[in-house]
Amino acid sequence: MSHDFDVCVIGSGAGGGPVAYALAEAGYSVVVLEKGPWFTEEDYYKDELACCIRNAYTPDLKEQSHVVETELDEGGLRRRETAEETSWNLWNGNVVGGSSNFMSGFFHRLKPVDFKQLSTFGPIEGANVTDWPISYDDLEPYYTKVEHVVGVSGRVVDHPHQEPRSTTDFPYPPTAEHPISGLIDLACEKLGVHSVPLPRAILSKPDLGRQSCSYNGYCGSYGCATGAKGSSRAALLNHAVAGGRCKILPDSQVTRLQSDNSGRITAVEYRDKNDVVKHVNAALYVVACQAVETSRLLLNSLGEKHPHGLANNSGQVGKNLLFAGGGAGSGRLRYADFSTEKAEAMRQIGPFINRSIYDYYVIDDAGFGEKQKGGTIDFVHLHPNPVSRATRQMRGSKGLLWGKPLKRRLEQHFRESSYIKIEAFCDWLPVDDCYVSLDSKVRDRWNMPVAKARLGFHVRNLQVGWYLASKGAEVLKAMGAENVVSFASGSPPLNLMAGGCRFGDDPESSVLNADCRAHDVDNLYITDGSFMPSAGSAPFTWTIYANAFRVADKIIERLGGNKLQPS
Amino acid sequence: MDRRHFLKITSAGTAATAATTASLPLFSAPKQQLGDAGLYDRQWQTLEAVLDHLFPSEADAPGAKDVKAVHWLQRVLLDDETDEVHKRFLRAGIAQVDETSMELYQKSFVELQHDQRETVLRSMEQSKQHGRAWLQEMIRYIFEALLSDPVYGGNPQAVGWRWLQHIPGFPRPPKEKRYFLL
Repeated sequence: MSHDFDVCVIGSGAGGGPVAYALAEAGYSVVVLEKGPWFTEEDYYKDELACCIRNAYTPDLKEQSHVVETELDEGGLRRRETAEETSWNLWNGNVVGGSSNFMSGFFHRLKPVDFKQLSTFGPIEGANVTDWPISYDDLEPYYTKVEHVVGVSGRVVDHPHQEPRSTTDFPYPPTAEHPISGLIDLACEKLGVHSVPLPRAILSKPDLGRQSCSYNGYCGSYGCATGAKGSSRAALLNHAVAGGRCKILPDSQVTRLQSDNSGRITAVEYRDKNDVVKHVNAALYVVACQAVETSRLLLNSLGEKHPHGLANNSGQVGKNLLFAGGGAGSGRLRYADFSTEKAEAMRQIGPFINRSIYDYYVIDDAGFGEKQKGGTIDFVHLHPNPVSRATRQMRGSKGLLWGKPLKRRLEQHFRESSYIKIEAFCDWLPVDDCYVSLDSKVRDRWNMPVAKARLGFHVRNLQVGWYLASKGAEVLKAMGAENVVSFASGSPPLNLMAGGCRFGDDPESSVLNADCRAHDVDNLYITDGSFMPSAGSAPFTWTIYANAFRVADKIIERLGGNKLQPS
Repeated sequence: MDRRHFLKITSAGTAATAATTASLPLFSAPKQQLGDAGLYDRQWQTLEAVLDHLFPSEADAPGAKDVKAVHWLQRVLLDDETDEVHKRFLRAGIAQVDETSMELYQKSFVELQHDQRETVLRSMEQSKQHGRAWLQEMIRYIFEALLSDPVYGGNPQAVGWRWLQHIPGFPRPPKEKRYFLL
């Protein structure tokens, strides 16, 4: 049977890019459908209105929204339609390359313990904790592949939680560092914890057909204008397209996956830029639309063998939605406390802080309870966005600040200090009350039901988040920072989503098998973060990239191996 | 999603407001007319006075006037991309300023002294009719006009960035790559 393409990939972000890249490299034809436009380096500027206020890289919520349900403290649920309450926007970058265009590139590997949480720590009441069907060793070669293909800059140092590596060091030296990094190192030494250089998916020197980082200080939330950031677009899709075997269809919204009476997918139905209904078919299909939209697409794809949605005969699609749990904090370093020369160095924006603490990845602290999974503490600059920063200054102790008092506060905030933020990451425990379903009322502009995300969370997220954030705060205090605060929250970071189609060996309790192929659909793979039964205790973009490369190898093997280098 | 029309109304609209807000003496219009943005001429003067009060000009620190905040609000009100509910909210707040002012002082807001204006706005902040949310939104829009890239028409000669010693990122957006043209 002939097909339009060997492989059809839906979604062009960190889950889709590696598959398109690897399959095209191996001589197979690939089509990538992306709902958003195809922007290039020529379209990305340091424009706060575009990225962060008018949301130019995500759909108009009046036409494409979500419904979010959160638990109220007093019990019951609160329903929000994101078109009305835009702060709950679940879109994260709907352009070619997906939200990887807008990541900060904090790259952490998962650690071996993340793959066997249940067998290491035992069950947690109220959480669906499980082991992964693969081990760290299965994924390690692909973490290494990402370092070389996407480009990861860093420096390996010896510390108690260093995960095993097949290479001694990163292929690119660390990105330039801010003087604050040295202050963190000193403070950590005083406290007896390990300050570890944080790897970044940002090129510290020109290579791979891309330029080096230009260190302009506006990285996360912004598209990269040099190509240094290892987005799926810059690092993978550009190469795949240049090779001639990968075709990208931007502005193409997939509405359904059609399946036949054997349960296999026969075609993808999508709308092009002019809203014309079109179809494309392939031997194999890969879905990678980011967790919420991947589950929604499956649930919207009914078929004779899939009356409850594609690959959903176990009823597991959309279940165990994950984010990153954790806490946060901040502190202020006043320039006046430093020599003129040092203060000048502190004022520069551009170089990164690049410091993490892994000492609490497993918490073995009698005062906190039994030995358990903890997490990672990252230190970062305050986001430079001036409108957002100014907006946070208008709250006074007795009401809104305005007039001259507001102006004096802005002067103090912007001119006199440097700010350090703590971002603490722990597991977002998989729970029954955090899942994606279809909303029964709201539809998008193509009349398809929108996703409803129930955002329940386990109290353990908060406990570990507080623990980690307060440990981070100790470091800030030891640095001499003022106004140090730390806290945890049950609200999910909406830019870090995973789960919904967990992989596992048992078709009754998982959607995908160990190869990330659907148990119920022979020609469907899912390669975004949806596969994760737990998401680790650090941002997981590197893991999504690595796993997608791993699955790409399984697909190549299934199609008959590398066509260009026959073994 | 065609945002190109924004460009047209942006350039035409700016000139129109400049005429209504800068050159009209108080209550000079013989008959109040509802403009394109759904506001009476008089209400533009109220809005401008509110913005000026919330963020006054000083010798070495720019205020709402210096960053053309009222023009910024006009563009928001004329933009088809702005949600209708949000536009109604913005217009209702302006009406509420004059209502509160009449109630407390039997005068319109523009006729009030500084302390009276403060009392009116603080009273709105305490009101149950979204007064606080409206004031927050006004201040936020002033900040957009103060700290966004000058290519959008606020922050002239980067006056806001220079005042706060803020270092912008580069490359900065050229005219043809403003967000609504992407």
